[in-house]
Amino acid sequence: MEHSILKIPTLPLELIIEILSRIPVKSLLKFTCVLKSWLDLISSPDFIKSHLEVSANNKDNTHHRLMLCYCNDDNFKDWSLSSLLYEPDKAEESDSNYPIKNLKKSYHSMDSVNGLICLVNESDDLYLWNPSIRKYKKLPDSTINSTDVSHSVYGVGYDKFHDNYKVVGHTYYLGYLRDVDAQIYSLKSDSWRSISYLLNGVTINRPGRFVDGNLYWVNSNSTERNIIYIDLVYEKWEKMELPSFGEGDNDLWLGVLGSDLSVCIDNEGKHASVTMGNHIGKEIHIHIH
Amino acid sequence: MVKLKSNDDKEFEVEEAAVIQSEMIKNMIEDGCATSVIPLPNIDSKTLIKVIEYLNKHINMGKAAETGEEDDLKEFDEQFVNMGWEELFDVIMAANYLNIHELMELCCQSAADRLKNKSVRAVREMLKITNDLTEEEEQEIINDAPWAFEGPEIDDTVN
Repeated sequence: MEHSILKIPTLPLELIIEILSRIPVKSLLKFTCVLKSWLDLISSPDFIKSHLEVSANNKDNTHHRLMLCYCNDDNFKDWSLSSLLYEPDKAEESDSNYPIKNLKKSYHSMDSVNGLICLVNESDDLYLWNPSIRKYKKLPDSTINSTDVSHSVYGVGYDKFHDNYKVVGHTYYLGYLRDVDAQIYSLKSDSWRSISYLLNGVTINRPGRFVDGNLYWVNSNSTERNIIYIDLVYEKWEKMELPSFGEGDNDLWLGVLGSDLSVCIDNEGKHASVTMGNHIGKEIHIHIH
Repeated sequence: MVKLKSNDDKEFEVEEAAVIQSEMIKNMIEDGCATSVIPLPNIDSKTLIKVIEYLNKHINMGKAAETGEEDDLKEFDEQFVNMGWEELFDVIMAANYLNIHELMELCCQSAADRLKNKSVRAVREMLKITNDLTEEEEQEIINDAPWAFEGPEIDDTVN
């Protein structure tokens, strides 16, 4: 058979893929050294996608890890999610192999998508880091004229249609509080480009959250507060209303619960979280603790 | 009852409730193509016996959860995959051909679990693979991610 890889017995390529898709990343890196056809297979984008899918859908969370970023000592620690869930006494933390440590700057994790973590430091340098293969990439500067930039707020997500990772940045300029630009970075082209907003006076404070193809932010300026989001395939902005939280000046932030966007609120010490279904306005649950 | 025939001309009778875990046979029955013996030209009798053993045990998966027999089923599965590589690959190919999702999952996961911590040398020996990479190519791969080739979990034995 043309595609057979194993000598005894002759297992077709599709079944080799079925087996290798269930092997952890570290072992797969090692197995690229077994045979040339395994190297080609394991390095191929199709296999990588299929491996990601099998790992993400594993019902025992075997390959999921929970990662915490310690701001004080500038460190990342991670745990196996399955041991935290099923054998919490045995769960051991491990120092994530934090490759950017040596660059001597304070980093924090902004968000992650498909196991790819976006890091940003105090000078707004951005990195995409894949802890599973211990590799990272520094992104090019997002702004052309960086001298009047005050600060930027980002979000990271995945464009399924073009199989591309994208970072969206909102950049604020010194002296012009209202002056804000949006840029989008494409990993495939390794470059930034400007995208225009649908509305004026966008004011964003926290990193974006990625859910089901869209990146979401809370936009709260002096006159209104809503959620703005961008579809990463078409790169179009939309906005939607926030659920009603009643009166009061409360702090809001977005989270992701499973595959739903959630809005968390701190109302004078009382916390509430609202889970929103994929279709906004549908299935809203409020939990107040 | 449904009759299955292996490629070495042996016939087996299986309860319909068991055999319809195979999507392929289920479709055949639904389409009325399973009136007499179903020939399985890709599966030998030794493998077919194993597959039927699995199908009979997993006959009412839903019921097992209700009656607390899940542990029993788990133990059966662990025992079931305790077989040599050649036999395991035969069952994987049969499960793929017959489209028995749970059996595919079980056997592929078992194969993956057996392989994952093995050293490169052990994998080649276990699967009778002849290395076709040059020493330089191998070194290049190792240099790219040396940490993947180190660690207390790496097992150089071949069982």
